[in-house]
Amino acid sequence: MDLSFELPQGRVRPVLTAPAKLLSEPCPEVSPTDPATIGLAADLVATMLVSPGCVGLAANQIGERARVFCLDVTEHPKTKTQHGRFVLINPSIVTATRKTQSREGCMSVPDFTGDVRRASRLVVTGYLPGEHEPITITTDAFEARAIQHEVDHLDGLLFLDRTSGAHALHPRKTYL
Amino acid sequence: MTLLRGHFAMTLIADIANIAALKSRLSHLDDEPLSVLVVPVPEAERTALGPPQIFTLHGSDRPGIVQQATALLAEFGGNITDISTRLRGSLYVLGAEVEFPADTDTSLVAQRVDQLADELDVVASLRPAEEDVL
Repeated sequence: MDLSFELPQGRVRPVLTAPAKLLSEPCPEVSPTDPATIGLAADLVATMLVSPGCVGLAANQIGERARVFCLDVTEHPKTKTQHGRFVLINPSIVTATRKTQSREGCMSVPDFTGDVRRASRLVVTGYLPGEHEPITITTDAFEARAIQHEVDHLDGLLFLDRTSGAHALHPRKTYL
Repeated sequence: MTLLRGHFAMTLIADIANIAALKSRLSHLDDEPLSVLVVPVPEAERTALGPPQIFTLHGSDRPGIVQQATALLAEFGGNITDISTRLRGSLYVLGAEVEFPADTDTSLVAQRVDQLADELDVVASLRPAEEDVL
């Protein structure tokens, strides 16, 4: 499935970190064809691309209350199925099955990582920027995990709300 | 075993025949900057327990979060079997595993957790622990 799209030049935006209030508030749906939404999509991609190790970013992480995220897991070693770099608007998870546990981090929680159980098979619907018709994405493994992480952001949830036990949170290590 | 605002804290439950002897052996610590308390644990009544729950809380740090959170869980007979806390910058994170009596309406507890989160201006949730039985 080709999810490529033309976006205007985006602006790199600062990324909010917990405990910023906006990160715990659900984001409302927006029009996929609204120029403001397309501008937001461009800003998300621009911000993701300049952030080392970042494979996805949700709108509320850059201070916008809008149900939009961008993703690109192309280079990640845990990726199996992947759909390149894309922005999804008003995403909705249809099915999520076969949970596995893995450790994940987040630009908005820069000092911690956490063990989180998520589905490894996923079907999600949503809109591409500028499109009137919804698309359905079927994916697995790391892309499935990353999409669930981003949809959680849009629902006002951080991975901190999904950790699998009392000792599932870890200080984030920086490797030189 | 944890650090509470920089102070080392540890609780151990041990099966010891002679508590007086243990207290005597530990008495030399009275001269150290340590507080050591040895108390007998009463025989607990056996209560049927429901499935374990995960309690998580995160938000801006401030005194009283642990007290109010654990008081709420205790109000419903919750037994905290494991807990850890982390503080980095202004972000405070607490994770705990809690067991409630089998007849506890955990959805009601979860509602009260939501209310407490609003009062404390933090994010908190209670949900069943996911277990894989192999």
